[in-house]
Amino acid sequence: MIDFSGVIGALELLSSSYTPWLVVFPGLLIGLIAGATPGFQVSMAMAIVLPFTFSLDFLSSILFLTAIFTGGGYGASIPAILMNIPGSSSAVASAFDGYPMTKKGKYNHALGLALGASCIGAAISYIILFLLISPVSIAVLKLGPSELFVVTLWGISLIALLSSDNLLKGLFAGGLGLLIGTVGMSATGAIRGTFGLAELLDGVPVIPAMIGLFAVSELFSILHQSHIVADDGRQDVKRSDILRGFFDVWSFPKIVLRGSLIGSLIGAVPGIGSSVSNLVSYAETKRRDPDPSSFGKGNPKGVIAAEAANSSSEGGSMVTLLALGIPGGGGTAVLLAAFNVHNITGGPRFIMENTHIVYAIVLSNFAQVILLFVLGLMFIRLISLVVKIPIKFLVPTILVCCVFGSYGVTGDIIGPIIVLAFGVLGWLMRLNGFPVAATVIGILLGRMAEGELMRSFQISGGEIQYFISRPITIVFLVALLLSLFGGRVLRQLR
Amino acid sequence: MMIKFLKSESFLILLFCIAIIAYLVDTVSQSMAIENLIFVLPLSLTTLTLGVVIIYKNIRSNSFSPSDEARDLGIAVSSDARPKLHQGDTLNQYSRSLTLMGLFAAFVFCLTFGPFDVVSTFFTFAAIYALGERRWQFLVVLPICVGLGITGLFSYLLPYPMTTLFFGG
Repeated sequence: MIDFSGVIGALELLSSSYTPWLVVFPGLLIGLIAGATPGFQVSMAMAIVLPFTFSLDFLSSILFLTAIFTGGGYGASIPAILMNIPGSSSAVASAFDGYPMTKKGKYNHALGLALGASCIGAAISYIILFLLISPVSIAVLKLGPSELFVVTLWGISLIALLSSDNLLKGLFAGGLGLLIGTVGMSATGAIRGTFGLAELLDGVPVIPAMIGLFAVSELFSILHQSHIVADDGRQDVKRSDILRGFFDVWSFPKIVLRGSLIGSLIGAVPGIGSSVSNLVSYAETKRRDPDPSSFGKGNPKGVIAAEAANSSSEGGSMVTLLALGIPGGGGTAVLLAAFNVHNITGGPRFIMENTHIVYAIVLSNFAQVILLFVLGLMFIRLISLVVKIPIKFLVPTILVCCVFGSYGVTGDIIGPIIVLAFGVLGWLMRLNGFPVAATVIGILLGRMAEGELMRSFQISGGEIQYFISRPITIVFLVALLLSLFGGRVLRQLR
Repeated sequence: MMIKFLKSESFLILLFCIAIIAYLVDTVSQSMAIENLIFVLPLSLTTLTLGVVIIYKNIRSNSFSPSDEARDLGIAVSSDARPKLHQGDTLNQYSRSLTLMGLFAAFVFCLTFGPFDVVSTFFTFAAIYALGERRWQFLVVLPICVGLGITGLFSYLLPYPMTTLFFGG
């Protein structure tokens, strides 16, 4: 189950240089701040800082980005508990009981519970990843191009389905992204959709497009507010009470374990992730509790259930990313882009050939969990004040960072131009209810999907029976159709 | 009128569909080989069909859908799929976004010939002013800090040449 030579290699890799460890501290801090800032998705922060990772080696850059991911998971709960404003959709359920606890004056205890559940939840999900990554990669190696093509389509469909109320709009956005992903020189040498621009021969630069769609479009959308949070209420943060809350989590091992398993499982499904897992875990804990009526009124179990689930979704989504090379959401989409920057293709072959790197990522994430505890405790007051920065100062500053970051990706002015174009595009899409995440993931997977389809065509010689003769392809195809139409069929049957 | 134009879902889809058709025509004109079209052709046709269905549904409903109304009233959820609109959604709110987009476009355009530090400083000043700041301390100190600070940091980090006034580029 565990490749011990890989583990030893990972430990050697992590102890051979202190460089990877230097990036974890700032990464966690950026994640905590981004997570604690409502409206600023953690994926957006990851996209903005991505250009900083170019000068780092692969392991350091992945550790930097996963540290942001880990920090963001807990950061989002801070405004949810203190102000009833979740930093992101992953902390919605944390507010259900966290804010009532704040109203009762128990906010320090609630923050401690959230910190404890986040740390333990993230650790459990990485233990699961540690145990499963090797067998999963062996299983995934058996998948051929036709299976991978259908899995890619399934992933895009799930993201389109779950990130928008309107399935058609979600699929349209995903299709648009896939098409953008195929712009440039094709495998056959045909130059498609560049309209004479030599800069697009290698395709639309993914990272500037991602910065535009995720970050710039969001910045254009929040200008009507004066502050991210207008609430003037200020609570005194007491570290001793937070610490007490942190250790109280250990009194509820079943809730933490259940939340972590739910989070890891749901996190592994593309498109769902922490936004859903925290609600499912909360609902399940409430359903099983002898006193469900106490939930929503400041029950500590509600905070623990929600936080354990949203933090453990990260490990679950890493399984899909590492094993299949398919990102489950915005955060893992940025990680996949970082893979591309270092000319690494995620997937079973990468795991088999670089087991030590994969284990190093997993092991260093255990260390991140410990650091999260320390940093969460140290910087909680500062983090809760970030939301008070006026929008009129915040937005121009971040826009300048986005432009420089994209310039760093392409090395010329095409990067900033792409950021501008996709920023406006993303703003219009958000305004009209299209999920930009589906488009971003489409852009990332367009070339991969086309490549797998082409390989299937070449292997089969153009015979459709090839697809039908492969049972795993049929299973994935049925799953794809069920996820698209299953709900509607069930409703009609009822 | 302006709001309706910006929030016209059908108009946006129509624009996307025109772009998809242009892309498809360009792809077909490059090569008719199966390898070139095997993915792009069916995907383009599927996406176009989806666009047509959405437009048809919009025309049939011929009014704001309940979700649109909820959106306009600010019954918003945090998903990135939904706009962060609030009650009293007026042209003024859009004008801020459009003004900043204009300034941002000018910023990007000016980077093609101007020094990065100076252009960034001016952009930050203009953006902060456009977003309502009138205190001179903030209008002077913050843009200088942002423009010079960020340019300095990136000119140190990036291996590419950057035209700058103060950092030897």
